Amino acid sequence: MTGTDDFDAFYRDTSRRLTRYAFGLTGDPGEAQDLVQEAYARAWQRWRKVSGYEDPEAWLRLVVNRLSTDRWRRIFRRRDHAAAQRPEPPAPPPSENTVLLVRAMRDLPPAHRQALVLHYLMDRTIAEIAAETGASTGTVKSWLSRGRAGLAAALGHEYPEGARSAG
Amino acid sequence: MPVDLDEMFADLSRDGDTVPVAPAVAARRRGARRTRNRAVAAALATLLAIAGVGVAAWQRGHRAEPILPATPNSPIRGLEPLGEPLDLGGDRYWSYPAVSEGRVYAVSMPMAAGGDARRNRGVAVAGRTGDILWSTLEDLGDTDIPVPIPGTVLLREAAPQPIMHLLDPATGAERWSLVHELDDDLVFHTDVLVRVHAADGLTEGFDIRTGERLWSAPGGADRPRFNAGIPGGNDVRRWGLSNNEPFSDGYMFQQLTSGRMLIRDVRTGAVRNRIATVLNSQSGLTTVHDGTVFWPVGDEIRAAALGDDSTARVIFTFGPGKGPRGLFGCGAGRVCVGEAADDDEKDSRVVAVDVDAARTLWTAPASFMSRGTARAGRILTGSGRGAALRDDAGRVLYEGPGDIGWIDDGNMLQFQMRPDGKRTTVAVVSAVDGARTVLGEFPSGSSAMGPAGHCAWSAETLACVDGSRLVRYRFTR
Repeated sequence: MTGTDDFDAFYRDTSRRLTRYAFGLTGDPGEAQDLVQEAYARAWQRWRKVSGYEDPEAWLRLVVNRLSTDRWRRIFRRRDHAAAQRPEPPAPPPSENTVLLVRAMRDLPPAHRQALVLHYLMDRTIAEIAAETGASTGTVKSWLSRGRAGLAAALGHEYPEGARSAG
Repeated sequence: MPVDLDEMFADLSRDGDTVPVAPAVAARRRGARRTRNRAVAAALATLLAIAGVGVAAWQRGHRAEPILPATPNSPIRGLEPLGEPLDLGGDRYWSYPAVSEGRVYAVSMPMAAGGDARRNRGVAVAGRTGDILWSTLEDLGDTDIPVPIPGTVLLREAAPQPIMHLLDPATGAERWSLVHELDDDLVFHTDVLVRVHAADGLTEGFDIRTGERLWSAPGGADRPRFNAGIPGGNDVRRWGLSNNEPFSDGYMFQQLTSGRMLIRDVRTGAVRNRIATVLNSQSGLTTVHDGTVFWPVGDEIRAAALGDDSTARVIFTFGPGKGPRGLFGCGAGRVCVGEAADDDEKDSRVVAVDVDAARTLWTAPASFMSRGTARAGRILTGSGRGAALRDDAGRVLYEGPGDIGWIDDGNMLQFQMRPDGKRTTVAVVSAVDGARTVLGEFPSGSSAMGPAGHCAWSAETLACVDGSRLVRYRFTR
């Protein structure tokens, strides 16, 4: 199998999940597409090395995570007052829940947001999130707890404790 | 009714799975472009310079549009459409609007998905007439979004090598360009561009109009690891409580590997203050106001006169379990401190401090405290969910939901998405008495980036993008 075939197979297997992850972090379809393309472009540049990693997909998530908070990108995405309005013709409009949730997630610290997305969208356990982020399991529990509390406050309702346990 | 986060995240996941994914070949092509050598980058820069001349020549026949006469700070009473919407037709749409110096900037993007930035075009439009003044050209490499600062337009080309292009805002002609590394920090001032090399910490200041190197400072053993501009905080675009931004109003901070911090004058490169210790998570709150630098250390806010470290002292101490969330100048001799519990955003407060006396003047609860600014005796704190306007005694003049930003000293623009998410109400809030006047309603579109995200404004003009249409309005007073 050539490097190209190998990369393309990896792309087919993982790009959908990575796009979901990027969409969870950004809430913007166009931004998610761009982040994913950039992450795979970087992977292709160093494919021989990345393909040898134990979990290349985790490496891509790290790249996406870093790019999503990258200062350069933030500058040009004009986070304060000129964030893009990107119509996405091929995709249906997001559900009302998604609009509300993404708006609420905008105000969370990046670590809380990342932990919530890994947990809820990627089905990662606390131990797996800790391994991926390099934090302790206690810290991850704190991120998830505070992230949920932040969302509940932002959404204007009480969130029932223990509605979903991770583990 | 309690929130069902499981259900909401399930919806988010389902929506994420409908985002189109480009074929693998697109990523490989992008990666391959990235690995081209610098000779290609140099050739591309030359092409861009030639293209800049061509664009300048093309638009010579366009007379510069006069800037609308401004009556700053008087009450805004309505919106009046400015000409016909600029419609791109069916295959492209507008994004990233910006307004500066009588011009509207936006990016024209192709409808086809795939995120190929080579097909984006930055466009400058005369704010008054809607005439297209200039446009960047396609297929010159991955180009990012034009960002106007007074007197200059910044345009970054991302591949194959990051290049910052500095354009004349009136003509779009390139004045000069800076080839840099992706991990370098850049700080922008109206007169100076500062580059901090990631490789060795070398810090250089360039004349932003000519590219002439004005000053440099070697990185040394204790090299800078985090660099950012210190903004004045009263610009519509720059009102984050965290001053962790690339735009500077004259000073920048450099947090060194050792934890020390330098305050540097971006015009001369001179180090004005050397601060012994700052925490990674707090350095971004550093600010300069009234000739004094302010920074948090642990549970204290400290201050020192610019250029005189011997005057350093504590001006505010947080209560037990509380820490800083924001720091900004809020009047002569005053600084406002955002305070919240270390592990919770509940009970957040804004505290006005008399700097000379190191005394608390007033304290007020602040429900929305992720950003703040002050102008002309008014203090605005807010987040994407809501905002509060106070007078200089801390009395609330206005409090409400939605995004809000300054138009001028007397007016603020407020965007509030309606519950159905389909329409956004645009209103003006008087900074004099907090009165809110609805100006109109716009479609909200499908983006979840925030209701203000598709509009930009100056004291005279409001520009909003709505799919393929760029719509301009004049504030009537």
